[in-house]
Amino acid sequence: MKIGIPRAGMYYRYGVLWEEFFKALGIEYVLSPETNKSILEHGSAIMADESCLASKVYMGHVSYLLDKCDCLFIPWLSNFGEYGINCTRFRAFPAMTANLFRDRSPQILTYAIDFSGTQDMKHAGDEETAFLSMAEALNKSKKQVREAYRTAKELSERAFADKVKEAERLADGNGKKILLVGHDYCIHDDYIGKPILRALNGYGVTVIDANLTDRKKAQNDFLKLSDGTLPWIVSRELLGGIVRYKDRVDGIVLLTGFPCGPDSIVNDVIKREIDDLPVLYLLLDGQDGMAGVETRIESFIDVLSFWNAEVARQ
Amino acid sequence: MKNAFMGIDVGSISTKGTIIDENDNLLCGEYIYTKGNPLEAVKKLLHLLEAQFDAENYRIAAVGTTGSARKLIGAVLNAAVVKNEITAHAVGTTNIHPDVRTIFEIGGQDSKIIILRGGVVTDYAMNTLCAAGTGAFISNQAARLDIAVEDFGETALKSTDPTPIAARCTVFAESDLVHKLQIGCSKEDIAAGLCRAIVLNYLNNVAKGKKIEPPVVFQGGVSKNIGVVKAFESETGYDIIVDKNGHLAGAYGVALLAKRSGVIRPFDFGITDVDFKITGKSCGKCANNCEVICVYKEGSLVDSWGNRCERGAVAVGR
Repeated sequence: MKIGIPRAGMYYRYGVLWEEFFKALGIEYVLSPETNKSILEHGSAIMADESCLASKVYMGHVSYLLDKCDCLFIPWLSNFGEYGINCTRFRAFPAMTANLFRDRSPQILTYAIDFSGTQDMKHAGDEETAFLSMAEALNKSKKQVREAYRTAKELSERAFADKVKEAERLADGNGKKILLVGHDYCIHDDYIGKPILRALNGYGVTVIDANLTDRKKAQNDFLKLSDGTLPWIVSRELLGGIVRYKDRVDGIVLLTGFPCGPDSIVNDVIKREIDDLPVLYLLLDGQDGMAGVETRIESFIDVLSFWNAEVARQ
Repeated sequence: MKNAFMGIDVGSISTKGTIIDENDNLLCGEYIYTKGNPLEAVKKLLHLLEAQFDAENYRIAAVGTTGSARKLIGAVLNAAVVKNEITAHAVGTTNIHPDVRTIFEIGGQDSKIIILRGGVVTDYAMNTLCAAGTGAFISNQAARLDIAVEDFGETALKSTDPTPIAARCTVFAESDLVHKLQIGCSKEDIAAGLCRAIVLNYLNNVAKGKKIEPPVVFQGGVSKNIGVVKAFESETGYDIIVDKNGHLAGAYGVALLAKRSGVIRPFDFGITDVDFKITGKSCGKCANNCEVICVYKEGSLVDSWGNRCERGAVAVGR
């Protein structure tokens, strides 16, 4: 059995965990390539028009994988209990895939993170149970799955901790620094966010990814910018990342794929709460031309060079 | 022979040019419509500037370009400075109004707010994906009402009872407008309603969360619309300064930047006789199929851009 993993959506959060898990079990998998125009076009064609850019990209990757694997790996990442929930569109991915591609009857391998309803909200981190539920479908024993999960989990946590350490090092470094705030599936997508990263790097500024902050600490940190009713796990972490890094950077760039429900609220919170740093808001919708984005980035870099907090408060 | 500096601002709707002397005085200024062809517009603009220019006493030592076609025209004119329009506008405006604290700018497809403190930009915002409430929107609605765009503001001022119109979205505004015409609202009232809607849209979107403080300078093509100016005054409660050369602020600013750059790249009006060709070709070397823009001078490639990766890089023999 060959598993297909879409390089989109929560892959950017769980990629190491997933890949190491299948590797540990000796299960063959195929990862879709970096997003390109053709993938986005396929996704846009199949998704409802009003869906967000990220979900169009996601379905483009699913479409790419359909005839290249036996089974699509689409976890149902819904409710993380006390840590918050995922956005509605992302929660719908397994069901949406089955429905959008119903003519092809795709096989879907999934696990459910859903601590809603009656379950103990304190055990939201209990991924292991969720992974064990896949044992039968994978034709492996529970013991094998448990071991594979634990190995993969350790590797993924270590990889993330290394990235956080590197981000901290960059934040403590010299030169102009920008905190990039956006969902990692936007920021790190080769077609969506990477051109912006490259443009920023081209101006010689250091870019720090707000996602790279200790996730447990972020769950407390975000309360400095918002109240506890903010529901989305990733939004909380991004706000936590801002709290963590904002005093060490020269400016903040908000990157949003259009239209994003959580970001529409969170960006507004950020714009209201952050008054001592220049903030650039970039809204992307898979535009072909980079001219508009380049103008905005170039002028933001100019603003950074003029910026002086004392003057700004006059 | 004294040095002069030229600034060219090529926008989606209009193309502006200025020439300044070493003391920042405006020697020449021109404003024409781009009409979808920036290269032709610039050639025409250069002829107009040349006619005003005192070539016996001055030579143009450097050129700066700004506006959405700044890169393209910068390549053609061998510009010393190619700068975004936000910085260009801020530099141009502070030179004329050193105490300015807020700049409203509404152009053909862009709208911006620039916040300055102590003569430097401290914050700005630009419309994001949507061009509702910009010059292109007014042109469309003026055409629908059969009013010349130049008369739109004066028409609006005749209104006694502005019609409420939703201007969040161009398409919705059009349906709203058609409805208001059908129920018998006058053109004057609708024009005034549109001016007010543009201002509200601007204040609630582009300028949201920005601290608007006087002096406020209003620029861009839409600043020529007296109806919009009055609507801004009544909504903000501040006097709105519209400079008679406000439409040239970007071109003036980038001329100043060219002067301050210290780069000397003499410019010759003879360039209007040189054959330039611009092509936008799909690269086709991978699934991204980037549009690579190439600028040819007398048949040979002088510049190219637009590629997302190395595969689309076109070698330029400079």
